[in-house]
Amino acid sequence: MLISYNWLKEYIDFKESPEAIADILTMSGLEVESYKTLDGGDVILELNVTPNRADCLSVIGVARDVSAVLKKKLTLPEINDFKSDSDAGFKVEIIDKRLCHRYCGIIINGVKVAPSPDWMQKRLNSSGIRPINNVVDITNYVLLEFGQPLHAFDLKKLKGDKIIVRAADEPEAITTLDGVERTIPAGSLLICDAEGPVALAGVMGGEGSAVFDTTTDILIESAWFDPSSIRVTSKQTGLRSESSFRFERQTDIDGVKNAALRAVSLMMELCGGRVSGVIDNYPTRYEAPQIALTREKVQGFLGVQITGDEIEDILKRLDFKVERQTGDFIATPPSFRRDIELEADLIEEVARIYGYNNIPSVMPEVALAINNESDKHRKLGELRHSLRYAGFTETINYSFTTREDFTLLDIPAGDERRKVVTVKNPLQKDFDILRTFLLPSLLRNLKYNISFSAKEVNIYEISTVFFETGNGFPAERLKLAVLSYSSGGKKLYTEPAAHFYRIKGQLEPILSGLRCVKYELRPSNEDFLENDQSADVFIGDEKIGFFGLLSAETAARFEMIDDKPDIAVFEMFIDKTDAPIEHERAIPMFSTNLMFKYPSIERDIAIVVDDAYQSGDIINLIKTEHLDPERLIESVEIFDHYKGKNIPEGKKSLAFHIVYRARERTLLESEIDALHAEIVRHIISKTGGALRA
Amino acid sequence: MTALQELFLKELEGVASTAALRELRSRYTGKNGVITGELKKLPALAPHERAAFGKQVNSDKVFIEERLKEYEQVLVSKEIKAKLSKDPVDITLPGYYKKPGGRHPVTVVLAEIADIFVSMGFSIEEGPEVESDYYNFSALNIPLNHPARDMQDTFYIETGGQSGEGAFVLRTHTSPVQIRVMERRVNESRHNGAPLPPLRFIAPGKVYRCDSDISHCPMFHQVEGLVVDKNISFANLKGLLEGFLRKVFGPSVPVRLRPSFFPFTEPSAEVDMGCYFCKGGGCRVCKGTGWIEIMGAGMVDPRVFKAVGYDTNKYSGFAFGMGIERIASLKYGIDDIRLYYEGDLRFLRQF
Ligand SMILES: [Zn+2]
Repeated sequence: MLISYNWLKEYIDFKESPEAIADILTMSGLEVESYKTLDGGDVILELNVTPNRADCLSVIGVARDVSAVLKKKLTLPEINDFKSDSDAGFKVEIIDKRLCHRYCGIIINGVKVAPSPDWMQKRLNSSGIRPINNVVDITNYVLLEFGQPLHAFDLKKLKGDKIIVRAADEPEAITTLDGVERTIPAGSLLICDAEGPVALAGVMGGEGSAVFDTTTDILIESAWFDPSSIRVTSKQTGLRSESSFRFERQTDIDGVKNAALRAVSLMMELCGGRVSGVIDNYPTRYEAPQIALTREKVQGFLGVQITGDEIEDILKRLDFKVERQTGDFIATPPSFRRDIELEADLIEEVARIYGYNNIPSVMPEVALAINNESDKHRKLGELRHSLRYAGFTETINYSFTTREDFTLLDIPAGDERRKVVTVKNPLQKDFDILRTFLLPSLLRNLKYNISFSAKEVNIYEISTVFFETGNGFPAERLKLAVLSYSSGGKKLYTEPAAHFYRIKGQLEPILSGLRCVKYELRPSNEDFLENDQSADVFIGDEKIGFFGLLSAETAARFEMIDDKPDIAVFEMFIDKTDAPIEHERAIPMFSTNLMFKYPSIERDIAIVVDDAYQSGDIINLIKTEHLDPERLIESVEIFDHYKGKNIPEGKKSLAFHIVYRARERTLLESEIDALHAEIVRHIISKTGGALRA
Repeated sequence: MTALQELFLKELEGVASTAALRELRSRYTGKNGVITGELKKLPALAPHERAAFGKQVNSDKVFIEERLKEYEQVLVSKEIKAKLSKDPVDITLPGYYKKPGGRHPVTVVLAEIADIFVSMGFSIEEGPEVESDYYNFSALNIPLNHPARDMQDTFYIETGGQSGEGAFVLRTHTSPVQIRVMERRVNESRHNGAPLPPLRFIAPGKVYRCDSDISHCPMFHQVEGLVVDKNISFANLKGLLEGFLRKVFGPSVPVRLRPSFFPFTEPSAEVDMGCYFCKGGGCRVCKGTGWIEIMGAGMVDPRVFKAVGYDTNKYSGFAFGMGIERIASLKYGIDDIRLYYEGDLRFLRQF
């Protein structure tokens, strides 16, 4: 809200500079966001008035707070009480007393509509309101001065000499001041004459009864309308006005008539005419709450040694009625402070005028307690740390995305990932659903970086994804996605492994870091990955992720065409491995089984088999139980995987290193020679392979 | 020294490579070597001479094996050195290693904040990002049709036509976690009959607002904090937040609290710190005021305690909240918030 420094000075006699006033207001709860000096020397303060302080949506309201802080007297404009014996035969009937608690109407005959004087136009302009004519300008001036919205009707255009305040039973039509014909939804509060709606109560007047140059007789309306009703109507019609803004924040019901009379005083002065009727219909009286407060509570709650006298003084400066018995208070807020309901509200008033700066800073004293709830945070920290040192950079992407992802990545109908949560009011069209997987975001990150000629892109993201459940809360799951791209640019040292194995090498330590050991890899059925270059990760029958090389077609769809597919990706749930990330599984007991003292015997086997065999198949054959009933094989590791020269087409050479060890004795070379030979025979007979020459 | 030993040493002198050494070794200690030859003489000797002769041959064998071993080490080192000196390294070439990736500045700042609070005994809590209207608004004293709802532009979620208080939203702040944790504590306490324990936690996470420009993104991160116990005061709130901000921004940073409004705290405060850039003189970042708004805070509103079933005669507490991107932007001088979400490695690798 814009407030004129000079206008403020009309109500309090202070010497403080605009900067000092801005500081005082800011430090007592009315933040001054900026101020600017006008040509005439006046300074306009831009106030950020919080929704609870409707009383400060006016110059006098702000002046009241300044006077409380500065301990200076507030001088309000003099207001004539235009007593009128008659209501001039005009009636105000409030049908909906729940939504309209008070309606004051004043009839003035013989006004002369003209432009308002310069000083008034300036004040309106500098407060952001466009001057129209003296009658309308006066209603707006009083709105700015007292915070009470007023409306002026052309009396001659009101049918039947009456105003009826009622809620619309069914949608009704009205053309508002802005010339738009609107359908007002049922339940909205309407101001009607004998024939129909003439104003949308508290929001905007009707075009038909507006004051024009030719108007001579007017009805000034000053009323109190229910805040949430005005807010609902304003939202439903999309109409916001200075009036509705104030009504929906609660206006001062006891100031309703006063504001109307202030307008009348100004009219007499600026438009002429005479008061011929004063109607004040106040069926729903306001009773201010009486709130108890103790000095001890204030002291304890704020942590400050404030005295009873200081508390009483502050509340009285803020126009509260205070009954006091030493340290016990009963405080009654003024009618313009409808935000004050509880003890805590009173304490805030005391604190802000006492000054937050005058309250000491003291660290809380609390009992120590065992902290069991931060495991997930720590584990995610470790995960990020290990990814970082494996060369990956963390990205964070918006949770929003578009259904286009499913087309780009060939996600089949019925796939889990299509169970999306939809945003009702998206900011943009391609942000209308929440992510169920992270890969599309990483691919967009990749594309963005390639556009800046990045040659190596190694990125990851850890984020919540959302699945529609059909009953309220979506299922929120935690996912990790990793992407590794290399343009095959020139490098000093060659990479020791192919891209598939490099990405798999990222996945494996992550799984074991999550204490996930019982996973199983199966050929991937993801259409966006290259066949034969990809795998899905399962725990039991649940697929928790996938990894492999992005298919060339998918890369092309993201407009990242390269001569070979060199984008490796993986993505997996990290909240539901066999040790959920929320809680550390019990640490396994220390075991001497891994620390035998008898010497080992080591043998290698190199075998040429059909391409169809995977290294895991051969390892399973090596570990065939009936061949080794004593479990002498301690470990089997592959150390060579070769295709090419000297190996026939369609075959490959695999070489394994086997460590044999007995738990309770020293092995004999001869018995291991026999066992190893048997294992070799077994592999050859099962695979049809041959020892490599 | 025996004649055999002398002969061996003479031969050893002529050995210049590990290959020659292997040859010498096999000639002396091999299956058909000199030592074996000597031992074969044993049966021909008189019984009383055998012991002394056997001892002699054995000591020759030990002598030869030891010399062989010593000389082998010398030769191996020599050969390695010779080989390496033929292929000297370029000490200015980069070492072979994986360049560490960058951290996201939001993660860096979040971790720093979490460390500070965890070190003070705070736990870390979480809540869902899609929230019900109740947790996001009503329970926090932000009723339907109240202007306080205008403070946060809200994304709504399609859940099958529900509206009003039955609606689901993308949480606009992390404050709903306050409600969830306090509710959980009340339920636990009802279950086991134990009194409500003191509460101190932070709740970091993503939040969503329906606006976007150079200083606003539709998604950003917040950290919420809550402390509830007997005798918690506004002075405690000041003490904790001043201490926290000085830990993050330096021990001499000025901090001030000024009255504000949040529906779920009373009294409420906006927390400002002295402008980092102009040191209070006034600049573009602080809009000339010398102060930068950095957090919101306040004493827990009794209406909130009532919603979760805490007795306000026994307990008091304070809550605070801050935007992570805002803190990161101030720390690192980042002036365009969109940088956080573009995934640009040239930006991210700097952290
Ligand atoms: Zn500054």
